[in-house]
Amino acid sequence: MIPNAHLETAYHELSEEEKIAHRAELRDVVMKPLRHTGWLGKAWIGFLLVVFLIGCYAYYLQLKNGLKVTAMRDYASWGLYISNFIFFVAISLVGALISSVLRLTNFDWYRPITRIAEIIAVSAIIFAGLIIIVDMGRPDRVLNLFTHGRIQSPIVWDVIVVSTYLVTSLLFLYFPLLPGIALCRDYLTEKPKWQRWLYKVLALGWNGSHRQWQIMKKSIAIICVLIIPLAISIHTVTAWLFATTLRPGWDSTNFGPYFVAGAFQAGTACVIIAMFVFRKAYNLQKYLTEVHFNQMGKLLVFLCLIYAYFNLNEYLVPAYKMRGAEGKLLNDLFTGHYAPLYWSVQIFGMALPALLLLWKKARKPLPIAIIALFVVVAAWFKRYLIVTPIMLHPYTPIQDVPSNWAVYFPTWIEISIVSASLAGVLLIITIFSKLFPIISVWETLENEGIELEELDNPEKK
Amino acid sequence: MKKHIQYLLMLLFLQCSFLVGFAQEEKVATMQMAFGEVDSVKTCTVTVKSDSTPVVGTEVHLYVKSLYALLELGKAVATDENGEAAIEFPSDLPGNGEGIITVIAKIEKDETYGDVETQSNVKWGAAPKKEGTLWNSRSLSASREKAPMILVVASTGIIVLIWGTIFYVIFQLFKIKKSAKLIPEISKENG
Amino acid sequence: MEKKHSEDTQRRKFLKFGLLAGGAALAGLGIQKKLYADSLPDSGVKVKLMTADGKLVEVDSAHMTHHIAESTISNAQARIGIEGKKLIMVIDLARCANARKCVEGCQKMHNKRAPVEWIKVKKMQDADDTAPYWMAQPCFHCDNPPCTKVCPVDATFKRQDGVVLIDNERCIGCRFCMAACPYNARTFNWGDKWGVAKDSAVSCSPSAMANTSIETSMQDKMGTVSKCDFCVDMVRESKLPDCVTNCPNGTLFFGDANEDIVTNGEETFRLSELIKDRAGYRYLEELGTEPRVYYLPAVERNFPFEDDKEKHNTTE
Repeated sequence: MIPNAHLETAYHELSEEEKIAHRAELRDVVMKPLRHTGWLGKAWIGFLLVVFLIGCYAYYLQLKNGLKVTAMRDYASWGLYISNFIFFVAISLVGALISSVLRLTNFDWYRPITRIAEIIAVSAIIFAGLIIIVDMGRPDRVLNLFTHGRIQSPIVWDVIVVSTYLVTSLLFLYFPLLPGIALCRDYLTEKPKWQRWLYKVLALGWNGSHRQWQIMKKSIAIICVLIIPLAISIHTVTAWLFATTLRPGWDSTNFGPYFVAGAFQAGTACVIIAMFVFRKAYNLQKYLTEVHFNQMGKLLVFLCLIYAYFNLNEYLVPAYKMRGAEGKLLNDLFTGHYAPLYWSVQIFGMALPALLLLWKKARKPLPIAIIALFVVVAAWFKRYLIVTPIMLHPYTPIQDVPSNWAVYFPTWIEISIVSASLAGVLLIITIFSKLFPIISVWETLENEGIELEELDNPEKK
Repeated sequence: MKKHIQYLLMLLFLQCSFLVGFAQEEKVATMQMAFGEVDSVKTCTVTVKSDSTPVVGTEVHLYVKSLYALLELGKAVATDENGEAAIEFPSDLPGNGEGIITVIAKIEKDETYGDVETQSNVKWGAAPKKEGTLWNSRSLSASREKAPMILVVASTGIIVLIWGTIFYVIFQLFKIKKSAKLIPEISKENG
Repeated sequence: MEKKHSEDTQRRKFLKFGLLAGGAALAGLGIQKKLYADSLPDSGVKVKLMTADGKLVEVDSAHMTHHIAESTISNAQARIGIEGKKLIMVIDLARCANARKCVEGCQKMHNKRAPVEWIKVKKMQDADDTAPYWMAQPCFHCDNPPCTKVCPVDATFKRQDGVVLIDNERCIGCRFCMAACPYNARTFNWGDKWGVAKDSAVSCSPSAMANTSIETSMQDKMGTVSKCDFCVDMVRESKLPDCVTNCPNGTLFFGDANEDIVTNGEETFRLSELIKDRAGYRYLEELGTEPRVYYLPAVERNFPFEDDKEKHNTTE
């Protein structure tokens, strides 16, 4: 592996004692949040639970009364749920980017953040699946997708690729976690019985033998390759849900790469925020260093620029032609009804972050976390702009409809359900981080030139 | 009161129609249709006779029967001294599946003969128009059984390949578990 | 408008409408019309109907309800469609005066109420300086249907007679077909009894609820998509769709393209000649959806264009 220049200091030969000490120190640091949860942590979980439960109640009302409780009607027949679905699918891509692309391209600094990226991916994809069921008029008939599924439909492709990506992401989370679970099994003996049982079952009897390390590393290498085409296809297929229609604004050959580029950008910003929060909350300053934020900042600049390039293709090329119905839509985005939102999203979510992050000072943990927050919020609203204005700019004029059919503004039910899904994602991440080490001990140690495999098996050395 | 009047009116109406029908029976016209080509133009010749004497100067309408309505062919033609009316038949009118067209000749509201109608089938239908339709052929818009072959093969191939790999990786989990049983656990005290 | 039909067809039409006020026609026989008249206030709109004995009567439209036929067509047959037919519609824009009777007739027939419209009449104007015209827009039953392409569960499908139908017992309500339809022909049942005519006897009758046949279904299941079905159940009985028969101006023509004949109930034309002579076209032809509805341009109009002063469908 080619080490990055700034990390070279970490590569001096460590003595056996130093290695063991490093390992013990890191182990103590990652174990601490699992042993103890402060009042802030409890309040945070409580808050997320309340938001989630409010959303569950809202969904109960929706199930009872039908989708009429939403603001969606015959023209804006897709709304907040679908935009939220694209958002979740988008941020789930980051798992593949951080863990796989960086791994395969021999970047080393990624290692402490792989698990953060993977758990974001897994929880986002779970809620992407759930929110699409929430959007269905007849969730009771969801099994029709399997009994009557048509392979010609992009929705069926989406169902296939989302479930495949979920399973692969879970495996990608699970394999590198095995030593971590074993650690919990061996050290968290004061935990309640169910939790100890959970660790025991999930650890699969991990004992750090040479053979187990071998199997694990081989499996990770396989998933690494497998997950890249899957990640690209999951978001490309999601883009095709729109691009396969004839609607002005969606009828674009640019949509697949445009979505993928946006997904990488939004997901990376999510990881930066998560890194910042975990660093502060779990005292991981020594492992999630400014170097990581610096690197992630550079990556985000690069991804913002790629996304800007696809935006240029997506909006300016049609705007050059201003063809019929699409021209009306673009006018509405650029100077009309949606202009404030459109320009805020493009400037604060793409242009300014790319510009600001060019300065090293902006890539310090706090400033970059704030910038990343802007990127994520803008990314969410961008998905709203990808769905709603297009639905309300069809080829045929909207006439003779009640006034609320010609506009779309989500009801409290939609907002609660979407908030609940966001809370749910955060809840999964939080609970996961309270059950398992949020940074991978063995991968972080690898960064310091310590092979845990060798430490586990001193006789094999 | 009103209802009774309606009832009476209805009776009156029925009676009148009966009388009208009776009155018509005094002069009955019969029509015969003949199909042939005149100067290589499909022509339907309708012969109108009453008591085997040709009816002259009566307008004959020719219709083609369709799903909902009768399509009139050209304009009505008056019968000549032989009681014949020759009406041109379009060459491109499609018939049913076998090319059969149901033709109806009518005398409408004639002063002497009232309404007279006759019907006949002729195999003059042009080749049915071949409509370009995706129905029942493998296509993206067809039912699930009619998915394009390339799509079925490609998607099955990809799914088998990807899920085969996934199952192989899941199998590795069992291998890890199995290997744990083979080797006694290493003490973690110094690890 | 009913004159062209045989008496037998009329009789069936009469039965189909389950005319409560068959009482009106048979008043002379002493059936108490009052019994029904009390329960339903007159709408003031009179509808002409021909009775079994060939009499033309006027009935208040409030006394008419749609009678759900016990369909003998299995869902498997309904998915295949009527053999040998290619249903087609021609709409003569020169005749459309925005009477909106097609909309009302359709709603009556399919037990719908405003604002749910399976056929819409829209004011169209191709450019600022060109003449506006009224355009009735049903489902176009495209031959290259974007909607059936995207349906994940085969709930909406194309039949051999050209009609695109929906199986409301299978639809999962994902609304992808609505997003895919560039004509916005599809509507959604956003709630229970959404857009179901409120005063209708049918909406509460158990037989209507139990009717799951694709062809005769009212498509009113909550959380599913519904749309114009070209009245295929009536086609089986050789009856014209209600939008066609209800138009006072004979704007809509319907027929079988295989016969090359279309009719509005009063006038009958060769389809190919009509399209050729009147420069027929299809809406948004460039999208390649191949609609089964042709339009005849609004030239030499029967009516001058008059803007609609009234607002329609203002409430849900």
